Amino acid sequence: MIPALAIEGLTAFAPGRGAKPMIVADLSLDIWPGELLGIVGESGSGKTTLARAAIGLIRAASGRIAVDGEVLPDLSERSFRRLRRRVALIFQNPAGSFNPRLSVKAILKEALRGLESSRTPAALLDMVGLDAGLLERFPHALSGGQARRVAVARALAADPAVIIADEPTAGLDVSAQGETMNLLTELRDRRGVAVVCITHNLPIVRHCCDRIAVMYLGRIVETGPARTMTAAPLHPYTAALLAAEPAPDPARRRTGPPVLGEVPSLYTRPAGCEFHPRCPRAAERCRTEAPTVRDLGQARTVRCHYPLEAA
Amino acid sequence: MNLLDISGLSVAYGGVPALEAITLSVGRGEIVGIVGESGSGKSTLALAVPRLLPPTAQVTAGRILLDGIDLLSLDRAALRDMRGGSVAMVFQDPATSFSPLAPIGRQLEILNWRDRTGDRAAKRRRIAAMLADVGIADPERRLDAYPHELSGGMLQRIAIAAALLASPALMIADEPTTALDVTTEAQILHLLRGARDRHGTAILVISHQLGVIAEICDRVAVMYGGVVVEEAPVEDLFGRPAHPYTRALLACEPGLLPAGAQRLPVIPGIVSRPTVGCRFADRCGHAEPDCRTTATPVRSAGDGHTYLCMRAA
Repeated sequence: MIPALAIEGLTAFAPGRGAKPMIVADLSLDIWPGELLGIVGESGSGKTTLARAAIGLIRAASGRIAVDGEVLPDLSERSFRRLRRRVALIFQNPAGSFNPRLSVKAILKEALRGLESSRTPAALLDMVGLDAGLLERFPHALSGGQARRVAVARALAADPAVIIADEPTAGLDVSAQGETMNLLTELRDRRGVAVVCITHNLPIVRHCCDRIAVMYLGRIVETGPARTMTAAPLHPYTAALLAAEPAPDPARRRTGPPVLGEVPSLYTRPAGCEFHPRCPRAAERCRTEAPTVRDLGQARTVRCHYPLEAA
Repeated sequence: MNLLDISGLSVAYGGVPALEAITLSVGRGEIVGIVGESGSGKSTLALAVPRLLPPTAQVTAGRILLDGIDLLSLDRAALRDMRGGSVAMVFQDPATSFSPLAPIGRQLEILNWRDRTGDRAAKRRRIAAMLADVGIADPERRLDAYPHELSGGMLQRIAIAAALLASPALMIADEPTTALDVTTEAQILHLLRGARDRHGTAILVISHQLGVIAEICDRVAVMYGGVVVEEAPVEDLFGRPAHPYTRALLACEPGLLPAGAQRLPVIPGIVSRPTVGCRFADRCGHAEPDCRTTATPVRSAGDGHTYLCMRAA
């Protein structure tokens, strides 16, 4: 199978002058057709920068990107312009990404412009379970749920191989979170599209996604199937993230203080394993030698010298 | 006597009701949670207590008693004494809780205007001690830092320290961890519980996250459409939820669902506001015609456990 999106050795720095910290650090990741992949990590882990650099909204310093096996010749704006038809990005606040003066029909027509597509705005709405009666509406007259669906319909205009959703559930009530994630799940099932869900909401990713990638300071430290990874994480950071989540059950209330300290600054990346200052398992080797990615089988990889035991 | 007694409180924005006949109490040193979706009125309730509602809001009925004093009848001087004195607030976004233009220490000195003992150095030492108390390392040096130099988690710790400066009897925390990472959230929740344990501060926590509620609250009120639909000790609410809405919320909670590639449950429909009858009736699987036409009775489901529903559990 060919990855829907293959990212290899992608490195991106923060914009601006002077000392620019590295936000995405030599990151490689394959996203497969028909999978719902969750990318999780704390703020500053580089999740959003990864998404933006992967479709050229932020100029990456180096790396190689391929969509459906077709390798981009370089990371120039020109190359990305073609790629963006195959990789769609859905922003955190989709309603805010619409021109308020355009009707739903006009918004979707604009997305279809220049494409050799027989699709119509009504057909796009149908794909996300909305009635064609909404075509004449303006963004302000849409409910939050409808606006999110229209944003997905717009993303589907160019028949993308990959849809990247940046924090699709942030700020939503539980019920609306469910609707959003279920819509992404439907797209995966019905259209075979690869869906990447970037979020800090671990419980949702754990429940909905096929596979999870955990990011820390711009690197992926663990990947694996959602079920096995959350049941028995390999990387101490994944374990710490899972343990930090407050259980919706007073019987499982924690008593002791949380172990994990603050995220280090990107300006002063720790030597060796970058997680070692916060790691309860850190040994001498971790302070000096950076771990490489290890494939432990069962579709699980980990970047750690002393991974936890898989169950 | 309870520390806080809210009875029959109704608030409207330009004639549109946001809270209807809310009755809720907070005991001394108690942590009470208010959980609900957006539009349930939980933030309006949080702002009504310290009289911080915007001018467009009118309190149309009810009483708010703090230590037996009616907060709704306070004059300006008494309000100033109460806010930041006996009642302190912690808001959702720590980045907007502070002015970006002044060092943290200077802002805390202004907030600590009630402290009139000793010289400035002594006052700063007491502020630094409070920062150390909320887990800020090297607090003397941090006093000179500007907000942009500190992480969100550190700023929220400092916001909590600021709230604790005047030893308030009640702290109101409106979504105190929503803007933070899960790792930082765990630390802030631990800190809030520690503030109660060490200083005896009662805390009213507003959150839409059931995990946060379960982690630190003694008692919980579930709000829907401007009313409290269920109130119970935390173990009862999670163990024996009585109201169909509470049950639906728990059923949608991803943290209680199994792992791996599945659909999330949803509560169908949208929040509606009927004039009589149950507000949840349109989305409720157990609703019968009389739910929409009859005033909903309060039922008891055990000690300190009440819910608002026509149908018996």
